[in-house]
Amino acid sequence: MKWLPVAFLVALAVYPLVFTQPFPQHVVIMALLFAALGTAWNILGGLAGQVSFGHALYFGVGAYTTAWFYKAFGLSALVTWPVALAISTLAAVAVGLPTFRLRGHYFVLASVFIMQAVYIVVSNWGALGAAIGLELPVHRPTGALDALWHLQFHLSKLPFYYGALALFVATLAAFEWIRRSRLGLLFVALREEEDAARSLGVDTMRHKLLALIVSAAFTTLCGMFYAQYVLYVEPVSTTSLTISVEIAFIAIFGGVGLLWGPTLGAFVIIPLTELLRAYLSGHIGLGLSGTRGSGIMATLNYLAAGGGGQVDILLYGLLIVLIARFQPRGVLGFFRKLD
Amino acid sequence: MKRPFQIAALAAAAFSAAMVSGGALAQANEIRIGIMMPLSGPAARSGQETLEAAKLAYDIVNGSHDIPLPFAKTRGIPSKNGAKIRLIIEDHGGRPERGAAIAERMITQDKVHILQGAFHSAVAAPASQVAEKYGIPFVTGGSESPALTERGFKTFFSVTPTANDIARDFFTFIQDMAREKNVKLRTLGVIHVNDNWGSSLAQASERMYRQYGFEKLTTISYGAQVSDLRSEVLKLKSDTPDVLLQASFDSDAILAVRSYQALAFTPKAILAMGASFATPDFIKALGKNADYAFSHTKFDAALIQKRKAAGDVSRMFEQRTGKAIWDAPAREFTASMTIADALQRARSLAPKDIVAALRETNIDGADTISPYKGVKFNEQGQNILATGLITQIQSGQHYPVWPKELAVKEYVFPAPAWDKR
Amino acid sequence: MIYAQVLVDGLIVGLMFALVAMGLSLIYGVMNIVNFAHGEFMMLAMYLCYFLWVGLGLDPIASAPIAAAVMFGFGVILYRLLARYLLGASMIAQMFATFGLLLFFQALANFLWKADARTIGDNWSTGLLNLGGLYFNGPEMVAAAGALVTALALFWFLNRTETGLCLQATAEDPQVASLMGINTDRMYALAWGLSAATIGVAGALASTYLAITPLVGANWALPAFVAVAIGGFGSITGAFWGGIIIGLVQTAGGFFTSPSYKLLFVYLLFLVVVLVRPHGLMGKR
Repeated sequence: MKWLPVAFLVALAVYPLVFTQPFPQHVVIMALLFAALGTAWNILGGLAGQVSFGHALYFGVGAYTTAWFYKAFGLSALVTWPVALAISTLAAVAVGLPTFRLRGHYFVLASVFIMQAVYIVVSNWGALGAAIGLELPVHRPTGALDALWHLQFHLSKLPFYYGALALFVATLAAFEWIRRSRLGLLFVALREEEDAARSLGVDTMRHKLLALIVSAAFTTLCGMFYAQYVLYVEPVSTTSLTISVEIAFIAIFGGVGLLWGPTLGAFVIIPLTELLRAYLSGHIGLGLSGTRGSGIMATLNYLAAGGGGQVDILLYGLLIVLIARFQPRGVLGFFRKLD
Repeated sequence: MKRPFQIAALAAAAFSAAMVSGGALAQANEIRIGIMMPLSGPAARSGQETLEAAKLAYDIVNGSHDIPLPFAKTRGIPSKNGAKIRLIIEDHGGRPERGAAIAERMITQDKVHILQGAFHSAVAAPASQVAEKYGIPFVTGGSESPALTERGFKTFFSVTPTANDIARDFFTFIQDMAREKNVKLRTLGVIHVNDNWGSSLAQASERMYRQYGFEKLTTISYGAQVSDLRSEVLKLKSDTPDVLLQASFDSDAILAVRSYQALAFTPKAILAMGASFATPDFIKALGKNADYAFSHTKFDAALIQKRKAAGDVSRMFEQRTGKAIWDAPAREFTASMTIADALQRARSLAPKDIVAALRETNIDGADTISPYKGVKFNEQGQNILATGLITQIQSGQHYPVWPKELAVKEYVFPAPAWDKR
Repeated sequence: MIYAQVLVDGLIVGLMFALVAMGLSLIYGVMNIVNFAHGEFMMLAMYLCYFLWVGLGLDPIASAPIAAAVMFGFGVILYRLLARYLLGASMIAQMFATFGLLLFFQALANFLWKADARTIGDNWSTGLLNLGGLYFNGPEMVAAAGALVTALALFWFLNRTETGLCLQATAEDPQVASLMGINTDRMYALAWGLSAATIGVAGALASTYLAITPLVGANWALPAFVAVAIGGFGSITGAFWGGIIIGLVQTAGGFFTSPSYKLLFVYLLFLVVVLVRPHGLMGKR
C-alpha cells in the first residue's frame, strides 16, 4: 500500500499535462484546495482532537486580506502573505484563549457561535464590501515577472494548479511532521486523557494554541489562494458557517486523524458534486423537472430530475450518519481495516 | 492486497472519464449560447422561471410564429443561413467560483458564442471576468449591480437597469408625488436583505437621498435567511421614516408587511425594488394590507396594452410554466431578443464581430415586451435606455402608475393607516 | 413606551427559545449527546403543520397536538435506529451522527419541497391587541403562551410523575438507575420522544408567524443552543431561563444598536458566561 500515495502524487503532478482543458484542471485545483483545507483542519481536529466549526474565519482572513490589499494597492498575495498570516495568528490566539478552556461540546458550539458572529461582522463591514464583497481587478500580465508579481496569468491555469499542489503537499507535510514529533505525542495525550496530561504538568493551553495557529496558518494560505484564483471574495462563499462545515465535513467523511483522510474526502466529494450538478443542471434546464403540473407522475418526474436540488448534500448527510454509526473513523477507516 | 489496487484503479478511471466527458458536441450551422442560472438553492424557482423565458425567446427565434416580434416569423437567424440557437444550460447554485468555472467550461469545451446570465450579480462578476479574458461576449438581462458595468469591460453588456437607475426612478417619483400632493418628506427609511442585490439599493439610496430633498436616512438590513423581522421593524418604527424603500425576497416581503401592521408602522409610502411586493402570493397572504404598496418592476400585465408582443409572449410563457410572466423572466426574454438581434447584424460568428454588433445595438422599446425606451449600450456596456415602471396595488390588483406614458391608473399617496383600510 | 415593547417582544421570543432549549437539554442530560439536528425537528414540524393547513385547512394551533404526537414517534424512531448506538461512542462520533442528520434533513426538505419559503395565512390567532401603545401580535402571543404552558407541563412531568422522576434518575446516574429497576433504554427513547415533541409544539406554534424554509430550524433555533450552553447543559431549568435571557438580549441588543447585530450580542453573552462559568450557569457536566 505504500506505493499508493507516491503514485497519487505523481499522477497529480502530470495530470494537467494530460488533461489540458481548463475545466478538468479547475476541478482538481478545487479538490487540492479542499484537501489542503481539510488537512489543515485535521491538525486541530484530528491530531489535537479539538473539533472546530470555525475554520472559515481563517480562510476569510486570507481571502479578504489578499482582496483588500490588491484592490487598494495592487499588491498581490506574493507580497501581503505576512500580513495575512499575522492577522490569522492573532485571530487564532483571540479565539483559542477563551475557548480552549471549554471542554467537549462547549468548545464545538463555541466555534459555531464565533463563526456566526464573524459572519455578521464581515457581512456588515463596509470596508470589506459588506454583503457585496470585493472584486479583485483583472490584470493582463505584460510578461512572466509581471504575471508572477500580480499572481494573474491570463488564461493559464498551470501556475494555479502547481501552486495548489504545492500548498497541498506542504499541508500534508506539516500534518505528518507534527504527528511524528513530540508535539504529536502530546496531542495524543490531550486527545485521550486531557486531565491526566494536565496533572502531569503539560501546559495544554499552550499546545492547543500551537495546533490552532498552525492549522489556521495553512487555512489562511488557502484563503489567499482562493482570492487570487477566483478574483471575487464575498462573505457567504468565504467566511460563513457553510464553508466551515464543508471543510470539517471533508475531513470527517474521509477520516479524522488520518493523514490521507481529508484528501480522500476531497477527491471523492468535489468531483462528485461537480458531476451531480452538471447532470442535474441539464435535466432541470431541459424542462424535465416541470415547473408545472401536479399529480403523481409530475411529482415523480420532479423528484427524478433532482427535485429542489441538494441531492449531493442529501447523500453526504446520509453517508455521515451511516459512517458515524458504523465506522466513525471515516471512509479511510474502512480501508485501514484491510492493512 | 489486490482490493485497494482495484479500487484505486477503478476510481482513477471513472474520474478521468468524467473529466473528459461533458462538453456538448458542436454541430455545424448552429449558434451556441451558454446560459447560467441558479437552478438550485434559495433562488431556484426564480432562476428556473427566468431560464424558461430565455428558452421561450430562442424557441420563438428558431421556429416560425405569428407574433409581432423580430425573428418570430423566420426560422433561426436569417443572416447566418437560418442557423438555430442552441442553449447550453448550467446551474451555478449561487456560488461565484462556480460561475467562473462554468463560464470557462462553456467557452473552452462547449465552444459557446455568447454567455448569458447569471441572475446573481455576485456570480455574474467572476463569470464575466472569465468571458472578458477569452473575449467572449457576456450579456446579462437581470443582474442589477452597478459595479458590473463600472468595470468598463469590453465584452460585458447589461440590458437591465441597475440599482442606481431604480433608486433614481424611486426618488424622481417620490419627489413628483410629494410635490403634487403637497406633502413634506424629511426622513427616508431603507430596509433591505443583506446580500449583493439588496445592498446595491441601500448604497444607491445613500448616495442620492440628499439631492432629492431628504434630510435623514435610516438603513436597516437583515440576513438572507431570516425567519422573523420584528426587531428590525421595531427599530425602523422608532426612527419614523416618512417613506420606506425596500428590497426583500418574496417571503421576507410578507413577513415585513405583517410586522408593519402588527406594530402599527405606517410610512406614507412603501416602495419595493423587484417583484416580491407584487406576487399573487403576497396579495393573497396579506389581503387588504397589500394595498398601496409600490413596486419598481420591469414588467406588468398592463404592458400588454402598450407593447404589441407582450400579450402573445405572456400567453406562451403561461402555457409552458403555468405561471404568469413577471419581472425577471421578462427581462431575460428581452436580453435574449437583444442577443438574437446582434447575431443577425454580426458580420460573422467570430467573438469580436458579435461584440461589435452588440455595441451597435439600437432597438426600439416598442419592439420589445419591456417598458424600456429601447436597448442601446454605452461604452461601458450599460443599456442607457433601460427604465422600469412603478406599479401600485389597489384593491388587490397592481397597476402601473408611473411613468405617465405607461400609467394605467392614478397613484394613491400617502397610504392610509392599517386599521383604516 | 417603545422600551416596554422591546421587553414584551424579548419575552415572547424568549419563551419560544426556552421551550426549544429545554428539549435540547433533556437529551443531553439523559444521554450526554448534543443533538445538532434539534432545529430540524422544528422545521419538520412546521412543514407538517403547513401541509395540514393547506390540505385539510387545519389551524396550526389545532395541529400542535398532532405535531407533538408525530414528532414524539419520530424522536423515538430516531433513537431506536441511530441514537441508541451512539451511547458509548466517542464525542466525535456522536457529534458527526447528529450533524449528519442535520445535513440530511435540511437537504431532504430542500429536495422535497424546494427552498421557497411558505407562510401560513390568517388563522384564529390572527389579530392585534393594542394596550395603550403596546402592541401584542396575536400569533406571537399565542405562541408564547403555548410555549409557557408546554414548558410548565414538561416541568410538571419531570418533577411530579413517576416516569419523570425515573427519567431524572437515569440522567443522574444510568447505572444506579438501572440497578434500581429502571429500564434505561426506555428512558432514553422517552427523552428523544419528549425532546422532539416539545420542539414540535414550538414549531407548530411558530408556523403561524415564521416563514417556513428548509433552513428555518437551523437559523431560528441557533440561539436556543446558546441558551442551553448558557443555562448549562443538562439543566432543564437552566435551559428555560437561558432561553428567556437570550430572547431579551437578542431583542434589546438589536434595538439599541442595529438589528443586523442582534445575534452578535447573543454570541458575545455566551462567551462572557462560559469564560466565567465554563459549565454554564446551572450546568452539571
